[in-house]
Amino acid sequence: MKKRVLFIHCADIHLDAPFSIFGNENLSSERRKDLKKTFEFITELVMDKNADFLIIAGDLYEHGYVSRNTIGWINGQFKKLGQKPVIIVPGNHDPYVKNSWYRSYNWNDNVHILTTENPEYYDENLNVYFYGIGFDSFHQDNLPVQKAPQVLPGRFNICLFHGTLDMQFAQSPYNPVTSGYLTGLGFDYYALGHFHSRNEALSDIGIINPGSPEPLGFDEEGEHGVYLVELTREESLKREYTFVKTQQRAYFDMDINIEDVKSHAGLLEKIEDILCMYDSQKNIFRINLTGRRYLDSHIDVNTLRHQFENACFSIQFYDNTRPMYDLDELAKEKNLTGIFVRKMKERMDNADGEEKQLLERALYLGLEALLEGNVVIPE
Amino acid sequence: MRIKKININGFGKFEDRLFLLKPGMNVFYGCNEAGKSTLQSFIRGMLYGLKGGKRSKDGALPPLKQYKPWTAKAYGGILEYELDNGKTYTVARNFDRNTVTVYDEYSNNITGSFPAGREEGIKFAEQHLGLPESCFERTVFIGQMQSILNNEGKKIIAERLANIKQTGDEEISFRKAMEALKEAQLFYVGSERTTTRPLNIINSRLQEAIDEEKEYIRQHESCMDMFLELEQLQKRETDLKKEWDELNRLKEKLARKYETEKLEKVYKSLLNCYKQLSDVENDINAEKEALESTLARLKEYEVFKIYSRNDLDEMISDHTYYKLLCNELEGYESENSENEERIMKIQGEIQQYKLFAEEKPERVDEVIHEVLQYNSTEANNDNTEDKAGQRMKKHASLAGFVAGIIVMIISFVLKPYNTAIFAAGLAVSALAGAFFISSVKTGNLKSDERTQKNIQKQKHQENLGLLNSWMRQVNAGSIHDFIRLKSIFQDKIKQLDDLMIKRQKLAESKNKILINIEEYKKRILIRLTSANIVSGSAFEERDVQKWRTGMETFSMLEQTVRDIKNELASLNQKKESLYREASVIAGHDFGSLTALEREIQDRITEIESLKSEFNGAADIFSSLTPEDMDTRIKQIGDELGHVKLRINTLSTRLENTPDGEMIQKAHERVQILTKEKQEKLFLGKAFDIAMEVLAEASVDLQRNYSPYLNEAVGNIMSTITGGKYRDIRTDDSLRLNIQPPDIAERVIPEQLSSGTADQVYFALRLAAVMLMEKDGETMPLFLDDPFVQYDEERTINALSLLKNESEKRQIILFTCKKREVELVRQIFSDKDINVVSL
Repeated sequence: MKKRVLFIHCADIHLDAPFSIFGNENLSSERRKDLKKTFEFITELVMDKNADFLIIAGDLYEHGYVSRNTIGWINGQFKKLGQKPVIIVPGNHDPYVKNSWYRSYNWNDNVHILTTENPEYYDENLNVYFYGIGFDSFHQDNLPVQKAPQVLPGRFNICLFHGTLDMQFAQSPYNPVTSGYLTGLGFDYYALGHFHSRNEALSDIGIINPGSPEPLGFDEEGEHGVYLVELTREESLKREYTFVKTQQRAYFDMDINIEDVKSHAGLLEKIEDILCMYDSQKNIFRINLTGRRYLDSHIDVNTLRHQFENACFSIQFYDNTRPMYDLDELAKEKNLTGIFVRKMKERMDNADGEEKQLLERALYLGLEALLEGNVVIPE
Repeated sequence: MRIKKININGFGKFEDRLFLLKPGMNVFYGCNEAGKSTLQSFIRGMLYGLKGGKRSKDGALPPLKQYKPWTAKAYGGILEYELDNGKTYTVARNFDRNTVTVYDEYSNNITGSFPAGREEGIKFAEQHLGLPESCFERTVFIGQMQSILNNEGKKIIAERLANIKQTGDEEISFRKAMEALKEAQLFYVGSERTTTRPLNIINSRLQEAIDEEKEYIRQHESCMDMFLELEQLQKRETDLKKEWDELNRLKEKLARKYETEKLEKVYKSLLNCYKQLSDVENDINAEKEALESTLARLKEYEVFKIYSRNDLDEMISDHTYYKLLCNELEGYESENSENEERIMKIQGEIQQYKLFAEEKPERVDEVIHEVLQYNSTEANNDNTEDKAGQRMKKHASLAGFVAGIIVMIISFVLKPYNTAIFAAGLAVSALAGAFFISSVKTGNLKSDERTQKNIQKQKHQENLGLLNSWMRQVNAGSIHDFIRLKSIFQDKIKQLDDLMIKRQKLAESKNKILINIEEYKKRILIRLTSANIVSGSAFEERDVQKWRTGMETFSMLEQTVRDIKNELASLNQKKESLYREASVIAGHDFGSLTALEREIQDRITEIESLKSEFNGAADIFSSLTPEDMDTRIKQIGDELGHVKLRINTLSTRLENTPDGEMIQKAHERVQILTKEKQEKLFLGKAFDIAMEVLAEASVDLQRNYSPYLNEAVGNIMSTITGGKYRDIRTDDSLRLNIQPPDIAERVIPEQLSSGTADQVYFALRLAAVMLMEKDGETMPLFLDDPFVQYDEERTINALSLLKNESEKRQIILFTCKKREVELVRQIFSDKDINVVSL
């Protein structure tokens, strides 16, 4: 009877996902290639670490976008693993729907897809019992009703789960479940997927969410990778986890205050200095320029982007600076401008969020029109 | 604006009237009902039209009906006016037809260049004066005792004042800023009404991108569905092929089975033929042997060869007749003997009673008759008991008659009288009387016959003696025996006659029979002799029998030979037929039975060989007919064909379906364009807000018209009241409050005298006109007896004010007071005024 298993746990690779943030088709294609590189890296990791099997806890690919070629390519990667099993549970982005590739494609023999109809797989050689809770549709308000797991002592019991764990909101359309419920099932390890940021807070009770191996947007900053998990059963069960970074690129979303910048050259210099601190050629940046603008003219974010795009994999600028108007002074005036500023400020005081942004924009547009006689917006 | 010419075709009391007006003061003087109000209404109607419809609530006619010409046929006229810019316009209206035409100074019809309202019609006046009718009638058009403005009038003027353009830097900056914002919004965003602006372009591109994405999604879904279907079809194809192959193998085996069965049938048929042929051959041989022996026997009966079946029948017939005739002859002889015996017997019996032959029969019968008659008569007369009875009857009848009479008498005596008793007495006496009369009559008749009887008795004695003599001769015991014997004698005589006739007939018949017998005998003998059965003239029945047997045997043998020959022919035909059948079954001719036997052996070998090929499949064949199998094979074949076709179709479609990143790129385009659209909408909304707030700010600023208005109203009131009222203020709703001199609190107009209140509102109207026409068209003033409530001083002051006003605007004053005309002439003495008497 096998007493130790070593495996790779990954999830949320989202192969062939669209990337709309770049505004550049080449870059989004490049990012999809990154996803494939990352996935290839994961399969190589299985071989390099001589792991017993590979677990993919949902969202391997994007059902709505994945191409036939990619499906064939994925199967080719699985084939490289030889006899090493690949255990997959469908996620909400690659659910086991009627025309799912999981259904229609003739996958390699080492690929085991755990579905609601057939949620379990027992590997006799490895002595591992796999049980999966995944998705049959794009949304699931409740856990699917499926065959109860057969957790038996003496073998390794692993649960693959794709969904929301311990969320505050009661209603989640993505398999809402509590960690208490999961641990109550009695598995030795819970391979989670769905959330793209890694979470090992519950690793003591065998719950790991590895996050996305490759970040997919600016809301996925930080390190991304997979877990190399070792389960050993001697007198008691022992779990060891090793995080392995797999990402090709990182996202950086930052604010740069340019109040101290007096010239366009100064602005470029400031940005350059900041980018130097990161591996800019490889990574993806979103820079929000903030503060009062002492520059004479508007900031042309497109020109800025063109100036820095060769220095970065991708960079985008957002102009959130404010013109150099003394609103308090203007508000004191008895004329039309004074009344306008007072009225706008009054409205802004009663607004927040996007509404406030909108009013602020309207204020500066109006002021520009009143004071400059025309409105110029750099495109 | 100033009115130059008023030409009335027909309007109320006016008909074909022409009024020429001057730029400054124009006074229309006329006493009451001279047509001042009508003329004002004409001017107003020419500018804004006349309202039609129904009567108002107070019963007043609508203007359109009110001013219908009294006499003139045409209802309308012409108004000529000049604007501040020096351009002259002419308006022609026909109120009947509700038509209006506007001509420019070159007589061009420019009616179509003005906006038109559904109710207002062509709005040339609003455009030229800058005032709608509602505002016109509340400002420049001051009717008799109508200076005071109600709340609605104030509201209309206030709104108008709030909308009038400002002057100065603020107005310029507002306008410039609004234009800049509008221009920028149009340039950077656009709107729903634009078509080529950034938002429109983004919307258009976004829609294209959305459509493109939808198409790619559809293709993607379709591709996945096709792939799924393809996978299922390929599996189905494999299953169908397997089943098809299996069924074809089975079909092959089944074909072997059926071939074997066919061969077995052939074998059985051939074997059957063989057996039948063997039997036929045996039968032929047997028949041949039978024919030979029959022919040999036939030779023995060759003597009968000359006879035919008819001869046999004749022989039988002859012999039968011959025998019948012999029997008949015997019968005749026997009958003849019996007849002779009976003749002899009867002749003996006749001899015994010869008396009857000797005596005359008539005499004998007479004697018998008389004796018998006499005896009969004597017997009747000797009956005495009959006479005593006759007497008894007489007595009884008489007694009955008497009794009846008595009863009737008693009936008369009895009281009361009884009819029934009388009737009974009458009936009894009548019956008894009748009976008595009958008894007396019978007694008288019997006594008459007694004399004649005695004569007859003597004759009887004679006859009786004769009869007794005859009776003794024939030994008769009584007369009756004698009569019976006489009758027997007569019968015997008769019988003897009959027998004698019969003897004669029998003799004749016998002779005829003998002749016939000889004839038949002769014919029989000829046949018997020719057959060597008899040689003499006699024959016996057995000879005839022998001839008949011989003849029949000969016939029978002859028939047998024919039958055998027929049978042989039939058998030979059957043999040929069987050989033909075997040839057809086997497919080739057979020369002999041995050859057929060899063929059968070959078939057995072939069948055994075939059977070994489908052994084991028999169970399947039992549950599957060839038709089932063919149907199933056809079904599978058809389905397989469809499946293959569908696989090819799907494969081709899949090959032709692009498989790349189009869908992601389309989605990204949609996302980017959606974001751009949101940014544009955000910007557009920011522009809207900026403009909205700027407009609000401007309105706030405009609301500051109050100081200007207050100042103007104050100035006008000060002029009219000789400086008494200067401080007059209005709020946003044009509510007035006045600071009277020497009073701490401010008052409202209604607290003042009606004349002063009228003057305050006149001042307000004039001030409002002054503000409204700022930067616009200078409007004429239409005043209908405005100074009715004014005192002399204030009238002069007001006219002085109007004199100043007439410097820049046309004033049309209607008055019915001569004094006012004089005052105008006096005050405007240095001016060229136009006074028109109506």
